[in-house]
Formats: sequence, C-alpha cells, structure tokens
Amino acid sequence: MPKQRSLLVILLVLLALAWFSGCTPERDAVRALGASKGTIEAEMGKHGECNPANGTVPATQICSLLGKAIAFQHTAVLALDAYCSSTDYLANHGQCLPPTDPAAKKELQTKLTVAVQDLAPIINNLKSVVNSTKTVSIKTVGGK
Amino acid sequence: MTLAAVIALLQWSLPLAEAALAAATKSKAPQEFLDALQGAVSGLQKVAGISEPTRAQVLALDIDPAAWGPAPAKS
Repeated sequence: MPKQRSLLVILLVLLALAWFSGCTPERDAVRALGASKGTIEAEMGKHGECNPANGTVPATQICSLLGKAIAFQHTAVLALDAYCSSTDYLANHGQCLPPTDPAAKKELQTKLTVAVQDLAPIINNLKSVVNSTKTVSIKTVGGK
Repeated sequence: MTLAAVIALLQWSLPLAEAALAAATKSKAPQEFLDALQGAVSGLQKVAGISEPTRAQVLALDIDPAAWGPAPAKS
C-alpha cells in the first residue's frame, strides 16, 4: 500500500512537471486570447447599440470597454502573429515558431507579453461591469 | 494509468528536446542534425497532444475592429 502511494506521488509530480513544462509564451497567449475573445464576442452580441454601424454609440461604460477590448485583442493577436512568424508559419500556415535569433525573440516576446497583459484588466473590467449590470437588473426586477 | 504516465514522460521530455533544438540552432549544427531534432520535437508534440498554434488558429483569435462596424456616413 505505501509503495502504491509513493508511485502515485511520483506520477503526480511528473504530471505537474509536464503541465508546467508544456507552457510556452505562444501557448499561454493562445489560451488567454481564446478566453478574452469569448467574453468580447458574447458582449458584442448583447450590446448592438455599441456598434458604430448602428448609429451613434451611447457614451456608456460598456460601449467604451467593448471598443477598447476589441482594439487590444486585435493588437495582441498581431503581436502573437509577429512572434510566431517563421517562414513556414507564414508561407505554409505551419506551426508557430519564434525567431531563432535571441535578441529578436526577446523583443517580440516582450511585445506579446505586454499586449496580453494590457488586455487582461480591460476584460476584467468588462466582466465586472456586465456582472454589476446583471445584479442591478435582478434587484430592479425583484423590487417590483 | 500507464498511458497517463507515458504521456507525462513524453511531455516532460519535450522541453528538453526543444532546448536541444534551440542550442543546436544557435551553435549552427549541421542541417541534417537540426532536421532530425526538429522531427523529434514535432513527433513528441503530436504524441503528447501538445502542439504549437498554426497561423490559422492564431488569426481565428482576432476580432477585426473594422468588422465591428464603421460609423455611418454623416449626411
């Protein structure tokens, strides 16, 4: 029984190491940008009034945050695209491969990290505004 | 249980292979050696279920600000 337990512990340590070693800047960015895209698109669907194509955009917090979030998402995706841009990635739609030159890699990685970090607080603000709006709506409905 | 352990070991060896590839590229190793290492990294990524994103996957994350809709022209 103790032997089985120690085997399990070793396996868990290996799995943890595997989990953390599987992280690269591009994989982290893909995860973060996938989540933020989901949040942004959900709100875009609910707030058509924030779309400039539908007329004058109201000066609401949600419209301001949505506009910012879309712009920052676009910037972060461009930074990821630049970070990955090996010849095979660009020409053959191959896998992301950062530059082999350490200086170029560091520069593009910094830009990518900054772009993803800049987006995070906007998404958090967007979520908190949406949640507070929901709470107000529920209170209003409950109060009637 | 066994499969999970094998996958974990493969994932664990992946960064080592990636580091070896980076070092070999930096030291300008022979092209055949680099190709073999690149093949090993790709193989490990596929087997371990980890792969770097492709350009199509990256571009799919984009939300084009222009697609949100331009402001209507003033009359």
